[in-house]
Amino acid sequence: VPAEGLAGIAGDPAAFEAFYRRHVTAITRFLARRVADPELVADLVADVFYAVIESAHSYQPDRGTELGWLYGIARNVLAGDRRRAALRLRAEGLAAGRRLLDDDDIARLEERIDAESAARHLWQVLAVLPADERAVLELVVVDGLALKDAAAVLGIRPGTARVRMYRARRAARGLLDPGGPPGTQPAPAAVRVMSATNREQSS
Amino acid sequence: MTRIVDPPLGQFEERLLAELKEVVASQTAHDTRPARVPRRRRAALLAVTATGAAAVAAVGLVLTVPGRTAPGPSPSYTLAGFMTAAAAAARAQDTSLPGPAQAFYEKVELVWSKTNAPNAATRECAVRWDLYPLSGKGVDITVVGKDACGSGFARNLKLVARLSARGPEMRASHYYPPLDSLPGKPAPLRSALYTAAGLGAAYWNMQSFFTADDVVFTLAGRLLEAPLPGTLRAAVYQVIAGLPGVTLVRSATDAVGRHGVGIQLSLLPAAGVRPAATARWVAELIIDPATYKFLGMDTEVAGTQWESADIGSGLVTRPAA
Repeated sequence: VPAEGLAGIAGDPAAFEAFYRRHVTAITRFLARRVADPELVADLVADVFYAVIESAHSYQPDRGTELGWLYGIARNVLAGDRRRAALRLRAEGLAAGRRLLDDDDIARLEERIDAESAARHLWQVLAVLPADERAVLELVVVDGLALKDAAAVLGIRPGTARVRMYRARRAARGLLDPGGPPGTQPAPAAVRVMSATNREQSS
Repeated sequence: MTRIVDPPLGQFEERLLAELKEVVASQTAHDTRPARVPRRRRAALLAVTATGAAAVAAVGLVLTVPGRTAPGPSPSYTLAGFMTAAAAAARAQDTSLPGPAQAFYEKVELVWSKTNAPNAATRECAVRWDLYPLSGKGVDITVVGKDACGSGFARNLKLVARLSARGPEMRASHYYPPLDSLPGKPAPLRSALYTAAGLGAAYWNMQSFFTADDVVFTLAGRLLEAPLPGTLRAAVYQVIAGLPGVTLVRSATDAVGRHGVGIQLSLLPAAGVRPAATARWVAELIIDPATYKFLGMDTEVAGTQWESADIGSGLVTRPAA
């Protein structure tokens, strides 16, 4: 990443292409961990990169990785908050913004969605956690960010992230434990993901 | 040790990249960074539109807004009758094409929604300025305005548009043929629009599955947004009425809730495109039945709906040096 950040990609098609190729797969996976509809995933991928064009100037290399910053944008896009940026930039014509997928595109996205099914299950299970605790756990456990990068995405201090992570993991264990509170469903795939991540976090 | 390598990008990702690069290229001349301000209610729309006009005037540009068309008699609700009346009303207007030092702007509210994904069924909107060129004539204009979208947000807007013979650089691709190249009689106009459609849907920034009829319908709809001489506007209405598959819908609503008559065209998905079984594929022009003024468009394709509403327009003239 150049010292001046990513501001250049918003005005330089070649720089933007390099950035896009670096991250489009990761962003597609990020979204496939949360959305199971291939057409919606495709739309959201587009929205994320439209939002990137709008906000490239806001990236600061000293505050986190490119990927973490992108995940932050993708979270906002998912929340609907950034879709208007895409809308404004797409307001070019009647059909702009509609990206119809052919059969090959659908098949590829469905493969990716299937590949992320365990993580998507975990993401759904974690929905009952308090939002701030869940956000840290989600970025670390579901998306594989380091804790400090997750903190940067969320705009909180690493220490705060560590505390929230601790609380979230403690609550999540109760959710994922087959002997947990009545009404909660054991989620084997999610347990596997959690266990693997717990080991990674402990090492 | 096995290393997992991502496969090369698919067609969708490559198409998206091409689209995004075009947008990036078009961004270089403009500072379009939005400034976030608190949400406002839809009711504030007209007031803020007026503020925008004042802001334009404040930077030294001369602003003239075309007058509204006088209400006409009760509308006919057959396609032919309605469009004939619309053409007659258009002919009665006294509108000229923008001059060489002028550009036309159109404020449009856009609403986007997904109809096949309930979890993402948020309606969003944006407001844009469009600057329309004439062939071979250019003008450098700086527009500073303050816009608002009725359903929610406002932002300061600064656009620097350099219009040239190839079209406004604001647009990533062509929007419609140069206004002064279009004939003012229905048959030649129809022929000119089909010739334009022959350049391909992609040339006009439409998805490639659109047929020539779809493209002509779309171009005609876009033309209705522009400042056209009465005879040309009348011809546009007559061309639309004669397109195959066009029907009249008595009750339609545009993106800001205004009621009108819908002039609708059913679209056909191309081979290889997989629409949801329940998805509608229609494009609709919405016209005020009292004044025959064009209100907006509503297009729904494969579960995605785009609605637009024209909420203001005018001519911007560069002051003499």
